[in-house]
Amino acid sequence: MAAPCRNCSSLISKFHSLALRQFLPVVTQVRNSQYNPYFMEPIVDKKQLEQPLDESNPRRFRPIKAAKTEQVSSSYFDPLAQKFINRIMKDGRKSLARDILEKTFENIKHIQVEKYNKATTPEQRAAIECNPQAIFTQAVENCKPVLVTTKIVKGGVTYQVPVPCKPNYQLFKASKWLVESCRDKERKIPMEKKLAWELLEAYNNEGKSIRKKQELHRLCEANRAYSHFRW
Amino acid sequence: MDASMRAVRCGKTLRLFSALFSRPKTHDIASNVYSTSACFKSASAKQQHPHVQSLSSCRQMSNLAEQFKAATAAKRQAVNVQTVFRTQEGDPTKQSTAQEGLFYTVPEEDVTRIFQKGLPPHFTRQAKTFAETSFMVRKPALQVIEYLKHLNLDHPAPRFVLYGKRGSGRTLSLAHVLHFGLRDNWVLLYLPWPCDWNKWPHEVSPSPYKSGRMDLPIEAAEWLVSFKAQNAHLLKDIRLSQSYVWTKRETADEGSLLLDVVDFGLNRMKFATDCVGVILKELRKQAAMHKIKLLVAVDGVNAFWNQTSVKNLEREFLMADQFSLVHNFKKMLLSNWTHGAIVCTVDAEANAVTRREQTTPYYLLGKEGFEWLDPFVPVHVPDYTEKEAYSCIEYYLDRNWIQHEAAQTEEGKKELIFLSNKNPFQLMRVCAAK
Repeated sequence: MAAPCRNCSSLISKFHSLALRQFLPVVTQVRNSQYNPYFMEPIVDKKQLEQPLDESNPRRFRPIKAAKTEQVSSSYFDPLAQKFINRIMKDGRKSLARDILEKTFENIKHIQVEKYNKATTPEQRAAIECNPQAIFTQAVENCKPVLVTTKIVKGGVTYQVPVPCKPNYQLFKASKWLVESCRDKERKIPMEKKLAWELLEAYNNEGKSIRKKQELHRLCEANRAYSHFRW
Repeated sequence: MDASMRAVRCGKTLRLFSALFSRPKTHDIASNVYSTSACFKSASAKQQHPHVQSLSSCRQMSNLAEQFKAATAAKRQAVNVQTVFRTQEGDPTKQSTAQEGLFYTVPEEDVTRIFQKGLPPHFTRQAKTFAETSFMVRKPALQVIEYLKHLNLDHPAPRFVLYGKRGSGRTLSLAHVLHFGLRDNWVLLYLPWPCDWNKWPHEVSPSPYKSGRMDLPIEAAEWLVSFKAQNAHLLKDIRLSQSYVWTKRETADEGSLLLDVVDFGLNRMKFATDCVGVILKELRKQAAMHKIKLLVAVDGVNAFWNQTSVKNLEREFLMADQFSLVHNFKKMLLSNWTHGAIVCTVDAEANAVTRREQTTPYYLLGKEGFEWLDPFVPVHVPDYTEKEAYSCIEYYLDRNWIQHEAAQTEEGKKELIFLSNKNPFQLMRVCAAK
């Protein structure tokens, strides 16, 4: 008896959410986590795993989520890169997206290491960053906006009100800009090449995605008069 | 348990420990210890390793847990030794198994001379980034070089076929052999990748010499350019043994220089393919007179027995040997001439997609090709050994290619080797993003 009941309720909830989404686009949540919020994130880092848990640690009592396929205990694992791969991905073709990011790193290395080997003095060499992971992390960091605008209706008028940006949304915006500005470039150049250029530019605080961030900041600055509408 | 029993058991565990950690580890690490002197074997024998020292101190400890801790610490310490990955012996004629698994740098002028085409694209790109071209001295190439050194040139030309898995380093082994040939004054007849003729010929025209055959003038001219760059210094006083008539007005007289035929082929593209045929024929004659020794090298030789993408007037696909270029080079693969050697590779990528299942010569060449080349010496090109894989990673680290901090640790290196399964190409790809 239990099974049909559950199906029934899920059907109703699906219909409910569909209907809600149509009429209240802002309020309804699009995706649900498969997990109860009581579940905890898995630890993949080997060093962290080695450390003992103390008696009162909630990990001793609460259930843990299963690790995703991309969450591995490799010493080369980078959670930020994994998030970024999801941003590159189209139509669920993850292996292609992963390949693109790996080739991007390779291209960055080719550009930087060649410069490094050509440089003659140690000072010049020290100024060249060759590590693609470091460049990538710094580029994403440079693209993160501090403020974003949100629509708030007051007295029948919609205002673009500047609000502080949350860390998750910062990461989303930064990676979205980096990927989108590559997609705007010449179509026939492979994505990994464009992305390598864009990341290197963003690393030096230049380029399209950095300009997009500055534009948003400018908008926030222009709308600072509305900032009290937040409350 | 009384004290004596405990002592006995402790002794047993100790022996077990020393057997586990000391013997195999000290041996293979000692052979890898970095030393500045040229002869690293003797130096490593003298050097007392930190690992060995701490093990001896660990034997004096009483507590089992302490011993275990010390042993694991010693193990961790021991693996952070810089290994030898490079040899100064840049001349392949002098290399031996002592240099196996080590990299040597090919001088820039040799690279431009032999490898205008022919090195794999990934490798060429890396060489540009590294600002040097380095080959690893590996067993298959050494084996072929050893054969070539001790060859009786009066016997019919022997044939060597390099075969192996994709990415195991056949092309680079062949390149190593070619570098040896250049240094040992062999005349190189090198076809980098004849499969390209089958797939994407630039221009196909009917042969003026023989009806039914097709000429590839652009490919022939390209080959003439590289042939001249590789061998001009050896062919300065080689003269034609007979006269050849191209047209009523254009002839190559008996006694004229062979290099003039090369120039003629480059100026008159229509006859470039026939020039290649003439050159090969003349070189065979000269070799029989012991003036020169020939080294024929073909990468992906199985392309010679494949279908091409070119159709004839009856709309049937041509076979590769209907190209006069292939026809001429197939004659070089027969061992009915002396004073030379033939080194080939077989490659699944040179076959049609339906015939790529195995990597063995018989399967890839087919019956016809196998009978054409039979008898030959098969040389298997295996994946990296443990030592070679470590050497490769050390080389990449030295060239600043692997940037991830994890790759400096033993664990990180092991992971790279595990991911690539010691396949050279896969190791290159795995290291590319790190």
